[in-house]
Amino acid sequence: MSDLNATSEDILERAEIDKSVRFPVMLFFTSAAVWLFVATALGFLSSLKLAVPTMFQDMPIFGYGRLFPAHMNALVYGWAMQAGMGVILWIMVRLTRVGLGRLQSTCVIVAGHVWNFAVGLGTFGIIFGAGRSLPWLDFPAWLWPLLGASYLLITIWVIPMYRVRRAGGVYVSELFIIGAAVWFPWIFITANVFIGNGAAPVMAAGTNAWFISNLIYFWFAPVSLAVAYYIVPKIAGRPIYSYPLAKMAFWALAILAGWTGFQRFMGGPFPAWMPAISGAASVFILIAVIATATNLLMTLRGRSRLWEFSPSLRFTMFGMFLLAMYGVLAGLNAYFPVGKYLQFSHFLVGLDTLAVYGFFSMTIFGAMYFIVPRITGCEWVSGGMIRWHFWLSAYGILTVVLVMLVGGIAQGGNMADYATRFGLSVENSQGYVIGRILAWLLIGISNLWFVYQMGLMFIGRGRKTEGPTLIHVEPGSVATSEAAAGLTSEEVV
Amino acid sequence: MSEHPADSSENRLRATVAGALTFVSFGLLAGLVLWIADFKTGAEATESGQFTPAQIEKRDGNLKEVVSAQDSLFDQKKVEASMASFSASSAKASSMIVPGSETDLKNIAGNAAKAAAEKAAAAKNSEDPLVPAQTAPAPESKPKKSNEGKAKGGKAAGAQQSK
Repeated sequence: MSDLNATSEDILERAEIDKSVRFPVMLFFTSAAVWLFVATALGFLSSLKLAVPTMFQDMPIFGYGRLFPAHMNALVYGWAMQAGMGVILWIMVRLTRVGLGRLQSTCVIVAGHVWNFAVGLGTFGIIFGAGRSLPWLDFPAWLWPLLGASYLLITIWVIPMYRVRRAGGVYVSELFIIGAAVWFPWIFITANVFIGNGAAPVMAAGTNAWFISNLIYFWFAPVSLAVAYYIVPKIAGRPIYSYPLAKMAFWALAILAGWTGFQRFMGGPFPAWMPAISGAASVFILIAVIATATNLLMTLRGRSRLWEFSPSLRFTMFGMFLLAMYGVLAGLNAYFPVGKYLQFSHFLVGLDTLAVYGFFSMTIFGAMYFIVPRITGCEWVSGGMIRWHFWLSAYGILTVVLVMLVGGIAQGGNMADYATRFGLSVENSQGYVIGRILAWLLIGISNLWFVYQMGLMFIGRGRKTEGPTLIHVEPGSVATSEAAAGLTSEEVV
Repeated sequence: MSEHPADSSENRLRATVAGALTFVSFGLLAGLVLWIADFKTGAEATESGQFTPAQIEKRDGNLKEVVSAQDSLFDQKKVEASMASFSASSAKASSMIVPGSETDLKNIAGNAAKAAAEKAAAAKNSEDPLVPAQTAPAPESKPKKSNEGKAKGGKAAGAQQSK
């Protein structure tokens, strides 16, 4: 690993930089871990409610119409965005070599608490019936200025960091992070201003779909790619295979992502060109996906054994595999002959889960396994627990995607058949709903391992002995994943 | 860290302000689009005096026409009579059977047992040598299950008839 080649000045400087973001980043990571657990529990309950509708039927707070939005919003704003903001801050201070000042750090911590408070209030709001029935924007309308302001106070600092960066060139990860930092306010403010000012319900639904699609392509995807372009060369111990290819992926995303979203309502009451352009943009985004997959695989060529041992690389590469899967499935769903059957089925739930809990969360887990030991000064307790976390999460998310895809095809096929009654589509998809319950159970168990380990790291009970925690290797028995894989160190990144 | 030429308080402040302005500009841009499009709900447009008195009069006329047309289709007496008879009738169990409910399952089991019994009787009475006679199940070939089904079915069918 390149850390072995670092000089003592480098190590001291990195330690200083890590120290400057230690509290804000740990605040985001631990809060995110707690929200992940809450969201997973809500996801399990909502799936259960779908299979057993009569359960708690006299209690409106346990209605599917409240549990599912509460689950998705807690997952998006409580877990994903908080974890992402922590990762953004850490990668930016590392790449620019500009730490956070005390005032900035305090500001981020205060804003982080406000964010958590707003997400908590919003989630309770949804559960107690004050939700807006707008997917991923379900929080009560009066909360969005609070979320927007706290986001601004958290991420604004990456812009001066980038401006006064000490490292000469611009890393691709920096580009993706700056992009994500700026794109989110655009889509968040635009969607809320237009929807909140008496937009016609049809256009509100369209704007809502545009927001969901762009939150995935303009925030989740760039943050994941920033992590991948940081972690993969670091662990592989060699530079990115092709910088131009990486930049092409960035610009393809920047140019195309904003056009996506309306394909979710193909055949709906919109001018035909809107879903058509959105569908085409969704397909063309595959260019960015293919470029990234090629680049990362070529960077790892001859060193792919590392993923067996390095938790960060394993999660990150699995996340990138899921990103490719998401790109292909979203492209397919944007194709009219396929999308017309799947657009109102379980498939869309599977696709959204694949984005939030699939490619984004897996990549972020990879980043967390890399970052937390560096800012807390102790190592993860057990490689075995990390392995369990990985496999249960992997089986969980792949099960969600598979059952929702196949269940979506069954449900969509029934709904498209005018000769059959609507109830048949619900009855036929019951088996797949049970698959979804099992999947969330697996994910819930996997997250228990993760939350437990994160809690230990937070209270300083991590492993204090020498050497990193790797998978399939006794803690501390080897110095790097390269040594565990029997590979030789190449060069400094 | 501050020895780097670009890293000065002034540059940091400028970048922070530029970033904040960028973020805020999205809100301003969205507001500008709404302002240029002059988007107003019907009530806002009326309040702001967007319509001339003649237009308001015409709109009111249209509204009255629609309301009176809808009112003519609505017979208050019929509604009141229905409500009165509805209130007078005491609540009773519906004869509709919910698909998948206990009653429905009992009915299905009862019908299946009845059909099986009829088939067996028909086979027994049949003179066609190709149709094998249905014999009673041997004690070791799970008789309990089939008997249970028959018993349940019979009971369920009886319960349904008594309703």
